[in-house]
Amino acid sequence: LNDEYKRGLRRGLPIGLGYITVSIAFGIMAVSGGISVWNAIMISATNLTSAAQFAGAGLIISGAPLYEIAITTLVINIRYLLMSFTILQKLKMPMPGWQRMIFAFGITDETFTLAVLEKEELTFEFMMGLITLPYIGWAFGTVIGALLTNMLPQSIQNCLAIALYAMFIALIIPATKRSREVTFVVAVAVVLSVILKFSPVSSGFSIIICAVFAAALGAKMFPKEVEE
Amino acid sequence: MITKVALAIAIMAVVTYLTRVLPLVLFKEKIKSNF
Repeated sequence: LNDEYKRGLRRGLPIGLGYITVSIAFGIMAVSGGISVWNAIMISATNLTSAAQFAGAGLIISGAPLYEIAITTLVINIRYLLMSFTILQKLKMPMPGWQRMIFAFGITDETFTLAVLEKEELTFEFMMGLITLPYIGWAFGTVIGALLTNMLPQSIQNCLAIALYAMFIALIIPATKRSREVTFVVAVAVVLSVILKFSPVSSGFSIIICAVFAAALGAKMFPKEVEE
Repeated sequence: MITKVALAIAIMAVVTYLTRVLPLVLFKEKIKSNF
């Protein structure tokens, strides 16, 4: 194996291990909600994104129309545009378009963070090494979660659907403890979500409205100063 | 026959991939940035 690829593999190992636990939760959530094992695995294998997958699977389960699923996915994942722009600045040029098209699939919050922290320019081999284990971990965890859920009695499967909420609480609480800005944004999103629950707005658009409004309000009230 | 679930998965995958790949293929060279 190429040295650059091996270096990427080493960097991606902790991400791959971390992804297993989250994707087990995804597999459990998707299958316990009624999505088939095969489809749950296909979602992870073709998307490789946590928040949008959870939201998308939830919308599939609730029978939301396709355009709502598309818009929700776009809103949640639009941050990848900024990440790709940033990675573009660090690429070792020239790099053919087909190589960029391949490694682009593996850009996630975590692989992006490690990529931009690299001191050297990013090669195609390094990027491929970096995304390999996270991809395998994400797909493997989903398989475990999906198969595990399928083997459990229906009553237990129904209880496991709560794993989604437990996971999001586990993600949100540590961040709110560290930052009052995050606490404010989360509180706005929660209140708005409860209000919309009792309105005719569909669940898909409810997610979009809550995310965009709370994030915009947070950005307006707590602007981040740009370093000169 | 393609089911609605399969279509939904395909749409999610395409939208997600486009958000990742577009900046990388639309810009052939590095762009001036404050990052």
